[in-house]
Amino acid sequence: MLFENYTPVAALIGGTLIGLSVAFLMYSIGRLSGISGIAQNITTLKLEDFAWRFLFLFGLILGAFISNIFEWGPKEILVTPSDFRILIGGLLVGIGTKIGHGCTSGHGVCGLSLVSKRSIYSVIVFMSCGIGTVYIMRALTNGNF
Amino acid sequence: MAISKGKRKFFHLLSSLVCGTIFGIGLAVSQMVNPQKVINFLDITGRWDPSLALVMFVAVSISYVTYNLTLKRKKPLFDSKFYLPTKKDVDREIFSGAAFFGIGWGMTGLCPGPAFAALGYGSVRVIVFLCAMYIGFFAATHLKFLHSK
Repeated sequence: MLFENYTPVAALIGGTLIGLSVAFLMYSIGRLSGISGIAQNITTLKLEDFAWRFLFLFGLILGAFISNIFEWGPKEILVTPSDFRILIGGLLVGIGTKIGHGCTSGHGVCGLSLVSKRSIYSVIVFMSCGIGTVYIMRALTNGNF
Repeated sequence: MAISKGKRKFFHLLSSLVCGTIFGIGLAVSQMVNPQKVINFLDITGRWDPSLALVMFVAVSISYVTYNLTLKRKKPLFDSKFYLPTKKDVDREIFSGAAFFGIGWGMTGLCPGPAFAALGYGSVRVIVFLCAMYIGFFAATHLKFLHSK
């Protein structure tokens, strides 16, 4: 069966919520919802810069927690890669989002919404690399990934 | 409609909390918080699950329209200006950064947003990811050989 794990309704609703969140953050406080940027710039001693970023990230966790309680989301989260792979992957994500100034929410959602050339290129490159990496990993682990 | 500085600061923070919470719910409902869902999207020759594409399409569509409307205004509700990126040109960093990020994303199915959100699902393993990510932020900032500046 094609698209056996496809969940279009969940994707539609979830995508709408994300879109609305992004919209309102700009409308209310004039900020982009680039989470790698928010996570990076939170390490500051200036209370003004710290406070809204902390509350946003706290909200992310809170929203997911609420969804967990009300079972709006997945039944469980499968983090299948080994600890070593998570470590290396996390390092690469940290380095990459810092150098490249964004991630899936930053470039992928906000950047594309602004029709930014930088973001378009970024998305093309990180999508390709993500696809290539999964292909290689599946081949190396014989599908057990 | 002029409001006091104190009220503005309160609503500034409240807005951020509300937006973060809705984003978190969105990540959970769309199941983007589940790295397996992301990996299945990137697995285009295997069990391809296009859900992530639909999530992005809907989110981008909404923010495209709303950004265009919002940015016509003089300023946001609770701040003095809009904070938009200043860099316009596509430089080497965009490519190398995206490449590193894409590989790490493909290896784990995690990126910053879902990693934080996963804490709300009690995932302990994402803590490893988040710590490594912050080490990566630090390394990229301070190890100049990794990038041009």
